[in-house]
Amino acid sequence: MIKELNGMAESEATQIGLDIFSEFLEVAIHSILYNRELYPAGVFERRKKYNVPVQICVHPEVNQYITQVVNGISEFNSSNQLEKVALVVCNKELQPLEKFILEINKPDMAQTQQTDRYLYQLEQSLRSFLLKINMADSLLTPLPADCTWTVHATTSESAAAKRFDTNLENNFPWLEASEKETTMDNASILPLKSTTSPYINMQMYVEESKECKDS
Amino acid sequence: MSDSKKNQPEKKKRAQDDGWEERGGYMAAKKQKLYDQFADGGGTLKSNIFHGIVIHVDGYTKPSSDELKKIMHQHGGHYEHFLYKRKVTHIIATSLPNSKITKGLKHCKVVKPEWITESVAAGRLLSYIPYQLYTGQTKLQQGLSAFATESSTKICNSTIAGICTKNSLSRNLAGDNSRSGNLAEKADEEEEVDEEMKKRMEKIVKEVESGSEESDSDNEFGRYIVEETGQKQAILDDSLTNVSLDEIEASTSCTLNNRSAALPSVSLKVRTDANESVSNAMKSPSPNSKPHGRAGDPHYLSEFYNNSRLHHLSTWKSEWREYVSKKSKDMTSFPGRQALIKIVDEHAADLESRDMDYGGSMAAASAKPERVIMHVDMDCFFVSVGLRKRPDLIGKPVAVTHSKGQGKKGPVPGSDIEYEQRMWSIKKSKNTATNPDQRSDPDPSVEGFGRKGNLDSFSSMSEIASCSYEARQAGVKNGMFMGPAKKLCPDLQTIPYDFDGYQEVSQILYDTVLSFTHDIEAVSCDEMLVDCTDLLAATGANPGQFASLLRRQIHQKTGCTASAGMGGNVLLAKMATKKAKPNGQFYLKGDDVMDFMKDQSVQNIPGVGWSMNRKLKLMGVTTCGQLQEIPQSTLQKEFGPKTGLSLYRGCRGQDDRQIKTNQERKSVSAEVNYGIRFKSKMEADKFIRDLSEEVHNRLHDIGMKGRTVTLKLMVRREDAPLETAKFMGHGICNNISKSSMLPLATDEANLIYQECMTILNGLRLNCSDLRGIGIQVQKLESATVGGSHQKKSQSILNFTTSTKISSTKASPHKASVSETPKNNTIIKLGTSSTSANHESVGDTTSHKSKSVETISHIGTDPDERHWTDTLIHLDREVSPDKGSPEGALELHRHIENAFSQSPNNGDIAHDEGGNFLEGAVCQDLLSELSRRKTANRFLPPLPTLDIPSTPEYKHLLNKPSTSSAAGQGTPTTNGASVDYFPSPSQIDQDVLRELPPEIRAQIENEMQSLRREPRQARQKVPNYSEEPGCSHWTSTEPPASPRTSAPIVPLPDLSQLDESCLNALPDDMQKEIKEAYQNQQKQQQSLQCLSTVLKSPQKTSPKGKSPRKTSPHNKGRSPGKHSPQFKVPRGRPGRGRPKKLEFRQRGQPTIFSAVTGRQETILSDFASSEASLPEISEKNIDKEENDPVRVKSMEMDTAPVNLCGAVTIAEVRSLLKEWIQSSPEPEEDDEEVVTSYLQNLIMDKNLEQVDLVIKFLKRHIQRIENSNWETSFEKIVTDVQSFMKTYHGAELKIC
Repeated sequence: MIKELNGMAESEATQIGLDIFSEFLEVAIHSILYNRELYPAGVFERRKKYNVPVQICVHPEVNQYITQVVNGISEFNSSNQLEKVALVVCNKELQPLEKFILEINKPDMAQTQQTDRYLYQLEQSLRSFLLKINMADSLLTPLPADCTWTVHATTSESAAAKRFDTNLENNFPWLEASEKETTMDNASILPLKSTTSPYINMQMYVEESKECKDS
Repeated sequence: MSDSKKNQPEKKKRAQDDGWEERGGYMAAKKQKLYDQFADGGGTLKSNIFHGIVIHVDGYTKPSSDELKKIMHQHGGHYEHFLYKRKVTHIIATSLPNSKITKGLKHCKVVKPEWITESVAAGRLLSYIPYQLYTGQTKLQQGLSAFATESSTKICNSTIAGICTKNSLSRNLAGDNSRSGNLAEKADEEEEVDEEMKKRMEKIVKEVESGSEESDSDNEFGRYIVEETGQKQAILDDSLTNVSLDEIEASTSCTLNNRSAALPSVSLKVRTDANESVSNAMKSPSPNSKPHGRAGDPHYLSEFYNNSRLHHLSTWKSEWREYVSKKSKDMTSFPGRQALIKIVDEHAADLESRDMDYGGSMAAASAKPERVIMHVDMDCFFVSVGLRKRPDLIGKPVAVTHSKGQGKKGPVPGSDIEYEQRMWSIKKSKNTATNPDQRSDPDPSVEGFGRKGNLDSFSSMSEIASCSYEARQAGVKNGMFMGPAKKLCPDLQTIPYDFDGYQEVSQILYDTVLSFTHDIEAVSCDEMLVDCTDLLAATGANPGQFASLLRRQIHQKTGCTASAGMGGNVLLAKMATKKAKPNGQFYLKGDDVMDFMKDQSVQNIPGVGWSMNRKLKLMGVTTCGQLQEIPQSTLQKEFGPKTGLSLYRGCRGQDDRQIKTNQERKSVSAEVNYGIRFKSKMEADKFIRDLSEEVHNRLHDIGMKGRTVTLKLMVRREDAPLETAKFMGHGICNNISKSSMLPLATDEANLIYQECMTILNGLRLNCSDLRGIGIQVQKLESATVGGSHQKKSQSILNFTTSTKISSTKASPHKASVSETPKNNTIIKLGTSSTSANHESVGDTTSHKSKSVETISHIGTDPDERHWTDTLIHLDREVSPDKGSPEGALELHRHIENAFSQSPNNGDIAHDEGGNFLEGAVCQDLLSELSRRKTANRFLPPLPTLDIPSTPEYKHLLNKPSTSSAAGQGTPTTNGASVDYFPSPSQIDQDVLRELPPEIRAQIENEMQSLRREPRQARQKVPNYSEEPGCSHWTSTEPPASPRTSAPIVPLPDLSQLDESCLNALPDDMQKEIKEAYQNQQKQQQSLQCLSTVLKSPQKTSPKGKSPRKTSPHNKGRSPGKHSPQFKVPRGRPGRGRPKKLEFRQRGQPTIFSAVTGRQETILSDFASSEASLPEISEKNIDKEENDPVRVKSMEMDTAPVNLCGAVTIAEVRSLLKEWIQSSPEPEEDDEEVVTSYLQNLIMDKNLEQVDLVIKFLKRHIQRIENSNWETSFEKIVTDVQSFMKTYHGAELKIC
């Protein structure tokens, strides 16, 4: 790996970036689910990722859902058409309460891979992403009971259209989100973390809707 | 053995022939006297136990030698006063000095006296093996070398092996004799026969000797055996004599099984014994059996492979694959189909007459053809082939094995069988055990060591390769050890391997099937998959008809039976075969599949091994039927999506594997894990060299080259005993496997060897602990791809070789040290240099010895020779490491060391070689190297590495540079030649080689000159690109620029490059070329940058290196927001004042000049504030100066979002802090600067930093409790929030 990173072509770096992102996304979803107590803590299991403890859901169906979500998203991402991924927490009326948004930039290729050849820095920043997710819990207002969650991916029209075309072939169809699901009144943003590296360039923040929660 | 007394005169005669003549008179007389004394003195003959045994007593024994002499006399043996090795069969001793053991008695059986006494007590001759004083191996099993003849040509070995066998046979017979005594009576009649035979035998031995020049002891040894053989032969009935004599001659070249087959009239018992002794001779640790060459012997490996059963099995598969694919190209007709069509016609006629009973099947056959795969498998192949020569054994339980058949043997001294058994059972209990010797159709019901049966220390550990169905009924399994098998089935008959027979029958089998169709996948020598779909459609036959015809033909041609299973896919076909066996056929029709599958064991599904089976058992699943009930999702959850699916499909009999008619080899390997006992590193070294040679041969045979070399080692586990229970086996081992990637595919033994040695050395193992060694080459590619010469690895560097001896043949090490222009490529270019270096190292290794030779021819004066030595030394040092990047860096380090030791050497090179290198560049190169070395975290040099001393390197520097200077002088028409001369990479090296030498020299000169300049240009580039700092430039630029700027031109324009041609090149070369272009660009850029930087400080190098650098703006979504001008902070100079001041103080007026008039007003503001806060500025200055890298990065990077140059949060904070503290009231401009900075951050998707900045401001502004600041802060926040609102649709949450 290290040897290869050395003289790595751009496409390889891109691929690595995509893989790292998908991997991180999965971990992040699990962490959010745990931290926001969307599932009882009992279905989570402690694992180690990026050298920090993370809680991973062991419920098979949840896991399957997450896997399929991540697969779908990495598909968007691999065609470079992914802008944001949002884990949306909704209340019973399916009104969004919180959005954990992971926003992606195209990695800065001008930056040489040499700067983070062993991915130490990247690992470190991913670690702090996870820690920030943990921390966010204390900054956000508690969620009401009976919350549900979904994942939104913001992508280009063409990618979405393409996806809808193939929806039937996959057994995990993606749907266009309605206005109601995407907009939040009186939302505020809580920035969590940003990172810039040759492989991945993204930031994470939480958008939370005060009103809905209060009501 | 015949009566030894009768043999005495004969022995004496030969003794004289052997060189006692000059003293012969006396000795003969003395021996005669002693012999007579012995004959007279013993008293009555009590028994014939020791018939044929001649003992010699060495040293003190109990009973004494006199008593032994008496016993021998009484029991039909003989006693010899002098140690004639060819005469004495056993030496009796209780203790022997080591020197005698290792020298004098090396090949003798040294036995304790108890053997004699206990044999007498037992009334029969006991095996001497348990009584051996030492066992041929001194303390340990010494490896194959222990049995090795000094020079073992093949013929010699086989002869001796054959003779040994007879020898052992004789012993067996002697034992027999003593029990029954019936044959011994005939001994008297055999004197003449005996004599005649001995003459013949001597002749044979002499022939062997003349061929092989054996050492004296071996010579004697050979004769000794011959003699015994003679004796033994004499035992046989007179009527057999003629046959036997013929046989002995034959035995020089024939294997023993031939022989036993040729003895039809010998009783079965004797014959079995003979067979047993074959294996005895092969396996027995007694020093007189020498079936193998020495481990270091050049023939060792080929002999090992000749004898290794597993090796045969493994190579056959690929051999037959090749055979099939070859045949399918050669043959276009299918002669066999005629017969099939005939049968079909007959059958049809038959059916018609019988009123269409099988109308259904006929209809099916004539309808759209169903896919039918047939699995043809010979029934217990090894046995049935073996039985062709032993028709008398048909119907009896038979096993094919190396073992002698009694299933008993002495324990290997020093071994710990219990330990190994324990280990095996531990393994078994973990259920991870895989049987290493499983044959083609492993029986799944037996596991681990259980398969081997219960071992006691006397059980033979020889494995049964195959056993007949009769034996299987008794519970014997393939792969079982002989000992336990014998217990299960006492009648078990053993037959030896008959590799020629297997080959022959396989050949017939494949030819037979090939006469029908070419859609064959060879599975092994006795097993294949046939896609009969086309065949059946073409002939109209149904599967059953074809199967019976095929099986009948195979049986007619080979005498062996085959079973055939047919089904819709590979899996079903294989399962059907299991049902069809033995000697049957079974067609699994599509409708019956589900029912059929229900009863199958899950282990029949491909991919179900030990661990999977265990997991399934835990789930309560043992049959496919049970597995069918488990839903796919559960299986996928349990075993992963892929495995789960394959299980799901497998248990339903679904299998989409295709018949692979033309399979590519994936890897080539040679492994030996039998008989590896190295005494020294040298032996291991030698062995690996041989093994590499073997791998090379195999690669060569299939015309492939590989890019990855894997060394597989079996190392004795720390707690395992030194000895193994299986004689010379590997015992309990740790398996280590390490790979090394080569830059270019190779099949060269030397390269493979060096890779392996590097790995081996890196592991720091004790050679004596090695128990198995294997070399595998993977990532194969065709050796002919790229059109280069087979033996030559292709590298662009090949073309750089010139005709000048010293520089052509020079190894890259020398060349790179010498800094000749062509080799500068090696040191150039960061990452690629590593690979380039590899190439060249790999490339030249093969020529290394030659080059060194050549050089030493030239180098007559001492200095030159010294230099040559250094070169060799350097070669040796660097080459083992070449495969790894470290290797290349090693080289760099060498260069570096050399240079640092003699700092003026660079200048010398410059002066002498003249016009292509500056000393400064050398220095630069060095600093670059060292920087990269530290950057890449390479280990410090090993303390053991010798660093060549300065004077030697002087030579290295002097010599090639002069020569290359001379070379450079010749072609002066560079400019012109560029026009018409093809790109050097397009020159076919092969064609070039064929040209007349003059033309070739000319072309090569041209190529060199073409090459020299671009290379030179490229070599220097990294000096700029790697370090963007100004200081760096100034130090390097002046000396380098005059030369570097010009030679860029010869690199042809990128657009002129033929892309298809480029693509056809090997990857490495492509990379090299691409890099050359990239570097050309970079260089031009950096040159531009340099000039612009000097004029305007705001323009900086595009090669900024700050980790925080981000420039997403041109990639952003909305062009309006992301336009570059929006990005530039408007108030930048204003907010940057503290920094600017610093810069000014640091004496960089150029940067200061960038401050515009409008900012100067603000500047004045700050001038006053600065006075009030001198200590802060002071501190900052210090800080900045201590951290020059950061200063550099700040002034370099315009791209990242910054607040007046501050990028990281720490920088921004300190800046803001100054700002807040410096004035009681914030300037409106400054507010704007901060606001726009924050907005930029938002667009840069760095909300985190926005958050941090706002929090920081909030904190500090609250602290100073200044209403002005607070309003200002609120204004900033409002602006930012409104921007957030538009950009993100939500405000920032400020806690």
